[in-house]
Amino acid sequence: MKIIDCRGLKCPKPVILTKKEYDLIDKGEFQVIVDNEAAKENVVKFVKNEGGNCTAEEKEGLYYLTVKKESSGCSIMDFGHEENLVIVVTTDKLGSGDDKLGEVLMKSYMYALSESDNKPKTIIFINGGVKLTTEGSEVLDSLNRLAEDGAEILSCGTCLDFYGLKGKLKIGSISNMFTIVEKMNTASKVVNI
Amino acid sequence: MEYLIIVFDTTGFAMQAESFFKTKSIKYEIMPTPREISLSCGISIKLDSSNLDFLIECIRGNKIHVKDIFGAAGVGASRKIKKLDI
Repeated sequence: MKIIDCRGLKCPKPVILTKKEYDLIDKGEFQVIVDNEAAKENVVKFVKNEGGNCTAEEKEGLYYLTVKKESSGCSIMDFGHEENLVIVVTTDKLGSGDDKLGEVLMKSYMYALSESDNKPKTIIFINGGVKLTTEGSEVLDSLNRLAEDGAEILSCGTCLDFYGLKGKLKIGSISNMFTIVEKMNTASKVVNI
Repeated sequence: MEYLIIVFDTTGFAMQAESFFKTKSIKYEIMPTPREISLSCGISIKLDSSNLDFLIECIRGNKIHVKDIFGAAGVGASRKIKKLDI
């Protein structure tokens, strides 16, 4: 079995190398070795999104991921009309003008979103937006309700790192720009706030 | 009645009340004023109904300036609200 050794490689390199190999083979198995949790999560997520199978095994601080691809042949396609709404939150305050008002409006927005009939499939938090998914956020109750209703909550890893919030994520998972672009580009509607 | 919705005359009063609840470590949530409550500002505060006595005390002590208090149950379209006499 081919081994893609990603030890010591920073995100998003492990996902790029996995994608390269995944696209190359028609079907079969290969192994990816990564040395951190975020890389593991991202590779697993990528493979699942592609319709493949990925199992992870942890040994002495390393993650051994077995990636399995079935023949790409003809698969049953999803022609459902379910809306794939993606919301991109790039700030912790809603609108510009007064920051205090912006904070209150953001809480009000998240509350209304959590009660809305058309709930988003994915909510992506970028830049200052990651302050809403981490310790000290005042919209965690609303985000919890959204997550319980099936919304996927993703925070930009680079941004968490930049703000020193990587260990303080309270909801959802850490994501990278490849996943973010993919989510936006496959959405039926993207709302940017 | 599952929870209370406090509505205000102005957004400024809502923000003042929020700051007050924060200092008292009361668990609250900012929510948009439900559409069926008109003539109030757009920001309301949601409190657990167990806080009603404390809330009335705060209003009488002029700690916060509220327009009305509603008792509520349910969410979204199935929300039922009733104005409380305070």
